[in-house]
Amino acid sequence: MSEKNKNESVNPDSSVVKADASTVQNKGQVTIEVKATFILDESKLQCLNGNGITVSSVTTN
Amino acid sequence: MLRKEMDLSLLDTLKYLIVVAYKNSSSSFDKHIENINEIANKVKQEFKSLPSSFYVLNSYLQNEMKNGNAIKVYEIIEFITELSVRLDLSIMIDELKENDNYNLISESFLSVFGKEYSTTNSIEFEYSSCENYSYSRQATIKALSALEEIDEELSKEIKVIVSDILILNSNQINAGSSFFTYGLIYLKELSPNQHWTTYLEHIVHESAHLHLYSLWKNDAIVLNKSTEKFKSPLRKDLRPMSGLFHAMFVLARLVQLEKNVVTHPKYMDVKSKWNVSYNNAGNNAPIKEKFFDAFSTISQHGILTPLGNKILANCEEMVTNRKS
Repeated sequence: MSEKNKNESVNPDSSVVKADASTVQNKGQVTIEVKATFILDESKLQCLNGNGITVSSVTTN
Repeated sequence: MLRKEMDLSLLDTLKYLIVVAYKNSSSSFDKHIENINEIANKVKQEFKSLPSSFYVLNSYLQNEMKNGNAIKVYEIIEFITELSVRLDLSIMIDELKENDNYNLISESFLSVFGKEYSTTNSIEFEYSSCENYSYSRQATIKALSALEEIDEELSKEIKVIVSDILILNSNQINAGSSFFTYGLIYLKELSPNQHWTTYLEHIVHESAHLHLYSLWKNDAIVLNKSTEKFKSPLRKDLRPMSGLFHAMFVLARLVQLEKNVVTHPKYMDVKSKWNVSYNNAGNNAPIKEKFFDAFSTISQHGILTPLGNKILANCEEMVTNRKS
């Protein structure tokens, strides 16, 4: 698959995803990795109130 | 109301992530936003809960965006838009599985929760086995229907908070829940010699954690520094005050459950089959004693917000049956 096709299969017009595309070949299978930078504003993400607080629970054997 | 707030806030986050993902693209993302808006309208109008798959996929999407994995990001967004949405107050029971249309949900779960635990605690999650899944599913149904009879109020609370129960296999884990997979409780599949009451306890326990996460979203509850550590009645390792507060909140509900089980004419006999398993600390004390252990440490050392103090008082009231 050409570099251009790889980008097209993801998002044809995105300048973001063209940043770094590479192909990893493993046992005959081709895995395409397309790297992009998405800048997220943490204040707009759902989060808990406080730092370093409990966010998950497991009970073990 | 808490659940509705959680769901609407989650949908807002998803819309934000979609906008960021398509920010530098001329491709239209209208269909994705319209889909989220449609779901949000239903959540606003009706008293129904969003499936936990949305929370799991949202966390996975955030992680993949932070990792810059563009292919996965657009795959998740497409998947969310095509997902058939179940909005109701019934609890869906499923197994962790591969090779079907839930594959991305299983993958998300393993990525969001599995990775964290496999690296820090050597806990591995595995797909459930066919032979034990059927038995475990029946035990889950039995535990939920028994809970309706044992404690109607608690049962109603759980139906609002918990949307999905996922049965899986694991080398160490018995049950778990997370803010990042809100609405979901995962249970280790039962072996044939285990009784359904094992799940009764796990469901009440994990639902209590989820309930507290939704309260914690709007209020800091505990103001102690996270570096301060305290002895917990449930764990060998020292815990931050937030962990101790969680233990106290969970134990209050378990005390109430135990009280209602032993006094219920239909279920009082099952207490003998009920193996209370929270003994990681090597502490054989009764649940009520463990509650007061945590309660006492929090009362002495906890720096709580007004809501934190109110929750603490409510839990004491729940355990002692008297107004504090």
